[in-house]
Amino acid sequence: MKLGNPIVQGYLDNGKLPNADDGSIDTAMAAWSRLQVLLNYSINAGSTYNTNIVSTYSLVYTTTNAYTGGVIALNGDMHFIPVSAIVGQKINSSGVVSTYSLVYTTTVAYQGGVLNSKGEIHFVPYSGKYGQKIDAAGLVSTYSLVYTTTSSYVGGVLDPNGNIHFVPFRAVRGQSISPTGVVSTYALIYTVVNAYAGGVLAPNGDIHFVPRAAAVGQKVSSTGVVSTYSLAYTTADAYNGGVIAPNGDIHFIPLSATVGQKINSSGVVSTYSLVYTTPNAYTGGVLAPNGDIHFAPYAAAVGQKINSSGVVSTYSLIYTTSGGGYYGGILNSKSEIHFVSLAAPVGQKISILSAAPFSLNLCCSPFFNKL
Amino acid sequence: MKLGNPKVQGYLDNGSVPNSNNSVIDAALVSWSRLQVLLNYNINAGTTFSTPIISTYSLVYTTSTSFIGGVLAPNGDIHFVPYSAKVGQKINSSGVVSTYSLIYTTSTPYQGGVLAPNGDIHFIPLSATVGQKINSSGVVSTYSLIYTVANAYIGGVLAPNGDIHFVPYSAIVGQKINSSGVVSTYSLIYTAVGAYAGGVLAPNGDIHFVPRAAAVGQKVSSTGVVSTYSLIYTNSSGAYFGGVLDPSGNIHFVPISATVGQKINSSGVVSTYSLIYTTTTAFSGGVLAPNGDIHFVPYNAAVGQKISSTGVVSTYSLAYTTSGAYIGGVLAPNGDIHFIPASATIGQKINTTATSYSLGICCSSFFNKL
Repeated sequence: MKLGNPIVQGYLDNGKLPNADDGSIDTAMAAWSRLQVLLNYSINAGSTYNTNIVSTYSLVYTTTNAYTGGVIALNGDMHFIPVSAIVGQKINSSGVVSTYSLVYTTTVAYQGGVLNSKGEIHFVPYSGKYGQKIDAAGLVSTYSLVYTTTSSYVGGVLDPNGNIHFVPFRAVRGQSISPTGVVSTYALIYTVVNAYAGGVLAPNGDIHFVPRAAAVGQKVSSTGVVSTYSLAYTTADAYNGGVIAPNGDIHFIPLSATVGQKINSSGVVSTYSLVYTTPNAYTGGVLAPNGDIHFAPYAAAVGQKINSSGVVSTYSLIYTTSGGGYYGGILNSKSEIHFVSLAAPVGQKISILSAAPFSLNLCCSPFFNKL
Repeated sequence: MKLGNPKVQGYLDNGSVPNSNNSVIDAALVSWSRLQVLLNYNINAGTTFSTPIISTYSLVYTTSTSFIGGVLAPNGDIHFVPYSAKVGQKINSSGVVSTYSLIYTTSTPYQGGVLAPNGDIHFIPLSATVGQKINSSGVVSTYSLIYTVANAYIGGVLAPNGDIHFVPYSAIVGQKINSSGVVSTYSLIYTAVGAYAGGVLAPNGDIHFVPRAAAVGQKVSSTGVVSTYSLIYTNSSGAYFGGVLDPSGNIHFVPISATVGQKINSSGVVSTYSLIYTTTTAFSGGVLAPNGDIHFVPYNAAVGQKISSTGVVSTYSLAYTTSGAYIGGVLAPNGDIHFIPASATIGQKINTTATSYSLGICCSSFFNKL
């Protein structure tokens, strides 16, 4: 890693966060390369310790299968996405946990969420019959979907034009919501039961679906072209959720996979060894400001991360359960990673103590802010 | 002070805070020089006003000599270290003050505290017979010490290898606790009643004890070697209390009753400088502000006093003063410097800067301790 920021034509490139909704994220990856400057600035700035500070805190509402995935809002509130919870739950920037009423609840309603350019957080419909969102003022509302089925989608991603795409789990059609709220569907090339869970926005604007039981990778380009590609490793319940690394690699988070898998910005798929694997180990992950990608512990007994140099390591957690503790995580501008409580009776977070935490705007970028 | 950041092979050095616990703080000062880039960025960013903005706020718990020293926690809470207090007290990043239960309280148990790499805040045992800490989840616990005596230690410092060293006040042995929780002692070269109060991590990883009544300086290297060095000014009835590292690498001893300032630079050269305001038991502890000023914390002082990054000493009015008001201070990530209330009945803080240190810098072992 070279020090600091590059000097371009005698001027310093301080980096730039691209607009997430106006087509600024380009296929030539010029926007991404400038975002990388910001990411590398934080990586180079370091952190107080080379170890992670793990702590727990009280939640207001807990139940079995409460929340899956989380999203940080424009005001810094971190929202947990209700799967079977009957209330919404959030943590504000001061660490205060609170709940709020939902309009629609049902068993296994939503999995994952996405922040759009209006400041709305959309819950991704799993078996929910309606879309549901909370706007920047805290108003919760529902809207009609075009396609619903049991266990339809898990996770979503905001594309470079401001459309929210749901990631097909058992759905046989893709589904998206435009910035003006128009819901539409589109054809997929590959579908199978439990196909994909979670998605990632790639440096060139493609949305990659994370393969859970799928035999091939699948992506949607920024112009809406759906395509597939070969994977190096597949199995039932392989991966759940994905994270983009500062070098542009998309890492799939190992659920029951015995190897890590990633696809780089040139489309090359490769695998790497993990330190710890077990069935249903991790669901979702988070990029920390120091470049580490943390996997969110579902049934894992230890935390696991991969650093910006590709070194995989594990660390102790305070609360773990083999029954599924957490599902997804959220990074805030204090360089804290909060794991989202699925069935855990306590919240759990990792304090990175970054010397240069990501700003709130950077935390909210669609490259990072989703399941 | 040079403007801007240095260029290295066509790239800008934006600076880096070294990990405080894995021995990357090196004797050659490479890691320090990169931290200096971050510090200088904030100094160059300037201040809104030429004088600090001072304000007060209500506390939940006060009593005479209630707290001595404070520590910033990983979540941004500032913890006050209990001395005569029967409860812990903290102020969060939103300014909310609250208290919490302690396990061990007695007369004058602790003075000063240190943040450990796992997020635990350790209180430094003055007359306590057990160690006490609060973890990052807010759980308070105690642990056994090897050496306890009345008036044993004041203040502590995290060494580059992750060990927390207690600073010997009247103790005749050094004592430390490593990152696995193992407590051990080691020999000192110089001991005296009321010898040292507070310590500072130097740019090369040495821990300097701040001379209160000591006739010589004393330090522990990053490899554990204890040594002494000559001082210019000493006062057996109490010269300095607490110390602060400045952006140039000088360690300033904070004048409690000393009539001159005293510092030691990164080459080991000791020197003194004139102060504007001195009185008996004037200041206890100090804090580096992001603009490079070092603020002395008012104990019995009637005014605030600071020294700038260029060595200019000045005073300023405080909003509240009383006998034995504050001991120690903590810099928060929003740029506020909080004085820790000893006998003060209200909290007091100052803010000066255009930019502020991140939580990661504020928590660095160079700054986050009494």
